[in-house]
Amino acid sequence: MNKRNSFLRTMAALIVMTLVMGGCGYRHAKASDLPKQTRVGYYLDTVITLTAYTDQPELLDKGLEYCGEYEKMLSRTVEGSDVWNINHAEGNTVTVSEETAEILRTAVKISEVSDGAFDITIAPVSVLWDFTSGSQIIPESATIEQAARLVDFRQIQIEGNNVTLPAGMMIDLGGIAKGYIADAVKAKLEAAGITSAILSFGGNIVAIGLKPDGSPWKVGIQDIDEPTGKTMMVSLNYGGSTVTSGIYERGFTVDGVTYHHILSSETGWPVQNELASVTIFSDSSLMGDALSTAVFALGTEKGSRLIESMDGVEALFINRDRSAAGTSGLGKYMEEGENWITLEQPDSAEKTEEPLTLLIQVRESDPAPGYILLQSANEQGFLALPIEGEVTRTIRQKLDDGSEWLNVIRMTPEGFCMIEADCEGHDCIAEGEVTLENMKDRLLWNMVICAPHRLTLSLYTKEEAIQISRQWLGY
Amino acid sequence: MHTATQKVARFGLLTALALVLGLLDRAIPLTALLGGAAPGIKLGLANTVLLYAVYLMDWQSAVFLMLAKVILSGLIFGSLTAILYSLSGGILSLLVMLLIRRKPESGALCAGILAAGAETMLLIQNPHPGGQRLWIVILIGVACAVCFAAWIAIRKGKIRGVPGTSIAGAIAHNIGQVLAASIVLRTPQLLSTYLPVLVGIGAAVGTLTGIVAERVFRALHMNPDKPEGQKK
Repeated sequence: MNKRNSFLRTMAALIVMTLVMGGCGYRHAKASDLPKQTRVGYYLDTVITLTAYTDQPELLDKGLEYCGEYEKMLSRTVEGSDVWNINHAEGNTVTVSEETAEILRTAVKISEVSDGAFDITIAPVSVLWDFTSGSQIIPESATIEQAARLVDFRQIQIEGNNVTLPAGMMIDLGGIAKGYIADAVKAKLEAAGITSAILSFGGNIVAIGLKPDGSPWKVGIQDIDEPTGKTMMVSLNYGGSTVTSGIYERGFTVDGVTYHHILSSETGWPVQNELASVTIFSDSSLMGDALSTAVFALGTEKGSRLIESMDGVEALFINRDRSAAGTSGLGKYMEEGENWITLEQPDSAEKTEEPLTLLIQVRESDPAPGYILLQSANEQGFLALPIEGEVTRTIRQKLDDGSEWLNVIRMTPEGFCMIEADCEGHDCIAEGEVTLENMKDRLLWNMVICAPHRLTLSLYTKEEAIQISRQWLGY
Repeated sequence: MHTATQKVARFGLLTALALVLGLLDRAIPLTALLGGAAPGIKLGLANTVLLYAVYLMDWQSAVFLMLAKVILSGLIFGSLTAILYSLSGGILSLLVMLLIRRKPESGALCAGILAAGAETMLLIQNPHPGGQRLWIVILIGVACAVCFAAWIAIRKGKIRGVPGTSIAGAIAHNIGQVLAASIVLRTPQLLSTYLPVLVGIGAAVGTLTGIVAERVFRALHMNPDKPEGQKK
C-alpha cells in the first residue's frame, strides 16, 4: 500500500471520528440561526438595553435613537419639550404631539381608576425631593403640604392635541413615559421584522415574541434586600410587558425610615405601607408603568382589587418582610426562583443597572469594596463583593442542548474563590482564592479561570470597575 | 526499511506512550509546588514522544502523532474546548520544532531571549513580587540562564541540540495555548498577564523534557542527527 495514501486515510478516519464523537454533548446551532445582538444606551436617567435575535443590528441603534427623540419630547427638564411647554404655559392652551396627547389620556384614565393614587400632576412635590444625588435631604413638611395642594389630575384638560393646565401646576411623566417609549420601540422593531427580542428600560421590560427556542423570556425580580443584583424570583414574559416599581430603586434612609421615589399624591410624602415592590404583567408597558405606581400607592388590598377588575393584567406584590402575594392569574408568569446567577437567563433583570442580574454600571456610591468581572461565552458583567460575611453564588450556563455548566463561587468582602464546579480537572478550584490583597502575587493575577466552561472571573477594585463600566457604556 | 505492520505497531506504541505520559503530566501537580494550580501548566513529558518523532521519523509521522495525542487525550480526559486549547498549542509547537530541528542553537537563543522578556514583563508588572509570583520569577530567572547556557554549549558542540528544540517547542506550545484561550474565553488580558508566566514556565519545562529526551536517545543508541526515516 502506498505510504502517503495510508497516512491520509488514517488522518481522515481520525477526523471523522472526532467530529462524530464531538457531536455528542456539544453545542448545537440556535433554533433560530439569527445572532443575538445587544445595544446599550443611557437615556431618561436609565441604562437602556436592547437585545434581539437579528442580523440587522442597526435596527437596535435606531431603537436607541428613538429613545433619544422621545426623551426630547417627554422630559420635564428639556426646554421646548411638550411637557416643558405645558408646565410653562401659565394656564394657556398648548398644542402637543399626538404621542404626548395619547400618554396624557392614558395617564388620566389610570388616575381615574386608581382614584388619584397615580397622578402625573405630582411634579410640584417631586421637584422638592432629591433621590438621586445622595444628598439625603428631607424637605420641610410645610413646603410639601403646600406643594401637595397643587396635585390634582382632574384639572388637566385635553381636547384633541390641545392641553390646558392651570398656572402653578406641573406635570411629570416620569411614572409613565418609559412605558410609552418601551411600547413604541417595540412596535418599531416589530414592524422592522424582528420576531424575538427583550428590551429593558429601567424597571420596564418588554419582549417581542418568545425566545428563539420557543420558551418564554425570564425576567429576574430583584432581591429587595440586595440592591447590588441578586435575583429573588424569576418571572416569565411571553412577549408582553413586565414593570416593577420598588422602594429600593431610588431613595435614601434616615433614622430607619426609607424615603423612596414613589410619592403619595395626597400627602406628598413617600408612600409608607407594607409593600417593597409591585410588578405588573400586561400587554401594554404604558399601562403597566402607570399601574405599578398606582397599585403600589393603593397597597395590596385595594391594588389587587383594581388589577382583578382589569382584563389581561396581573400583579405580584413583594412585602417589606420578603413575603409575596399575587393576583389570581399570576401563576402563569412565575417560575420557582433559586439563588442562581444565570447567564443565559434571566434575559433581563428588572433593574437596568444589572441586566442579566449582573451589574454593568458600577457607581461611586455603591458600597462594595471590590467587584468580580464575570466573562462567559455569552455574557459579561460585574458581581459586587458582599459588604460583610460570606456569600455563595452558583453560576449556571445553559447550553443549547439543555445541559448546564455549573460553577459555585464563595465571595467574601475581600475576595472570592471557586468552591465547586462540574468541569473536568477542577483546575478552577485549585487556582485558589483571589483577594484584593494577594491578587498581584498570584500566577493568574486577579483571575480564576474555568477553561473548559469558558468562564473567567477577575477581581477588580471599585475604581477599576468604575473605569471598565464607563468604557462599556461609553460615558 | 520497515514493513507496514512494523509501522502500525510503532505508531500504536508511540501514541499509547504519549497518552500515558500525558496522564503522568496531569498527575504531577507542577503548580502545586508554586502554591496553587494555574491552568495549562504541565511538565510536558508527552512532548518527548513528539521530539522522538521530530528527530527520528518524518514530518508526516510527527503530525499524525501530535493529532492523535491531542484528539485522543482530549476525548478521553477532557472536552472539545480542551482539544481546542491543546490543538493550537500542539500545532504551533510542532511547527517550530520541525523548523528548527537542524538549528537547535537558535531555538535555545530565542527561548532565552523570550524568557528574559517574560521575566522583565513580570517585574515591570509587579516589582516586589511575593507568594507564587516570587517563585515564578526565580524559576524563570534560572530557566533563562539555562537557555543561554544551552545556546553556548550547543554552539561549542558540548551537547547535542535536542534540549534547544524542546525548549522552543514548549514555549511555542504555551503561546499557542494562551492565544486560543484568550480568544475562546474572550479575555485578551490573558496575553499581558498570563503569557509571560507561561513563556517562562515553557522555558523551564522544555529544558527538563529536552534533557530527558536526550538521555532516552542516548540510552536507545539512537543518533538524532541521523534519522532513519530520511535517506542520506
